[in-house]
Amino acid sequence: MTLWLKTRGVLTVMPLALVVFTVLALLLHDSVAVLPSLTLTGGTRMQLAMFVPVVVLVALGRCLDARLPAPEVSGVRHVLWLDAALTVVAVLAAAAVGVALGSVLDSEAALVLGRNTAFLTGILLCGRAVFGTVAVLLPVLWIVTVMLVGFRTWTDPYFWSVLPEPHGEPHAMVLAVTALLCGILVHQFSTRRAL
Amino acid sequence: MTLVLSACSYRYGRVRPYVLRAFSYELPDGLTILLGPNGAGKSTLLKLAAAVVVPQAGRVSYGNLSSRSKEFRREIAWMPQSITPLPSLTAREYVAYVGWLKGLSRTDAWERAQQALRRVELTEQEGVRTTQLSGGQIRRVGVAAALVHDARVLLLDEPTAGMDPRQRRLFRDVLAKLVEDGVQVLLSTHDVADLAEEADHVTVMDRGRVLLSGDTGAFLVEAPEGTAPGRVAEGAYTALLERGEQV
Repeated sequence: MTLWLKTRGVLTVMPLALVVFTVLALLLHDSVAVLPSLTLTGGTRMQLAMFVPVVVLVALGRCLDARLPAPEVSGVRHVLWLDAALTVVAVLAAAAVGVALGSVLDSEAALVLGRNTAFLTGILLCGRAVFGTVAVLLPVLWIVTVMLVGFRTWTDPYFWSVLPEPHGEPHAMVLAVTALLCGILVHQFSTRRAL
Repeated sequence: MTLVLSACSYRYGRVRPYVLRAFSYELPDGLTILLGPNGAGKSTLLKLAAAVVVPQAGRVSYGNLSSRSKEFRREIAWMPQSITPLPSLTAREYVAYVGWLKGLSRTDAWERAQQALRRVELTEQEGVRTTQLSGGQIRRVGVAAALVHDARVLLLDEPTAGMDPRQRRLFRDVLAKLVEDGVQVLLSTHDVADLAEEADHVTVMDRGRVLLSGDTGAFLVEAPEGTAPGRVAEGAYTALLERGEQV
């Protein structure tokens, strides 16, 4: 497994990403900016912490791209399971940071970081099957979409937007977990097909 | 034990035409050269044989081992046409990782990687990052990776592309030693003149069909009369393609 960790660059990329993630979460946890919107006059009030999971997603995408497709598919080791484990660990680490910061700072935006990372990771992994490495732009595109058309009123996001939903909102959690599971499954099946 | 493809069909995607249809092939002992123009189905044949892709119909087996089994994958080594260098891996780590993927323990993989790199004369570059190796060197890393786990069948997709004449000579010596040790080798190449006359068998493919599969003598007699010495293999290959006959 050491060689797999080395190949994916996990030990160099992921710790660095989590440090940056933590610092950004700390700095931006309750920062709000008024950003352009197509559905609201006067713009959308967006939590800037919504962008923070992108750091983990970029790192995860980079790790999953650092692979030897042919030997991995024709080998006897189940490296796709290790990829799935890496994905889950990255999301759990982001969630742990979010919960810790949310508890200490009493920040709602920090508490939902794990859920949002899970949801955006699902989008990333599904997108990679179609768009390859550039799929890392899809989560960013989702955030921008939420910004432009994701709110009914300043405080009432549409149910599908997931990211701005408050902590503990059941449907947002269900969608996030579903997206993550779909992403992991798609990653398992799309890797062989890509050869 | 022999590698056998039985009535295999394969296409890349549901709407694309079949590259191979009801294709059967049995790999002979020794060194077999696989010839054919681009699009003949050579790489697809190698991918099926290496269990990298699964046929939509038919079966691939080695002795009584199905291509879906782990044991099959341990017995087969495949070197693809393009080798992906990774900035995170040195040449030795690359080869060791492939050995580990094939089921070797980390310690064994690490040791054998060094031996495999020595066989392709890359000992001095074993600590160099794969992204810093030349095209010929990275192909030799690919060859070393195919050798690392002592497979019984070696499938090589254009392994000599980008190698200089001395490296080719070295590569052919490595192949000769493997064949002596009883390893079955199937090698796809465009380098007709360079390799065909050294092979035990030659298989010529075109548009998903086998035009000829037999020993090298049977291949060389296909050359038109009066072909200049040194161009016999090339003449035989061209004549076969032009006739397009299925044997």
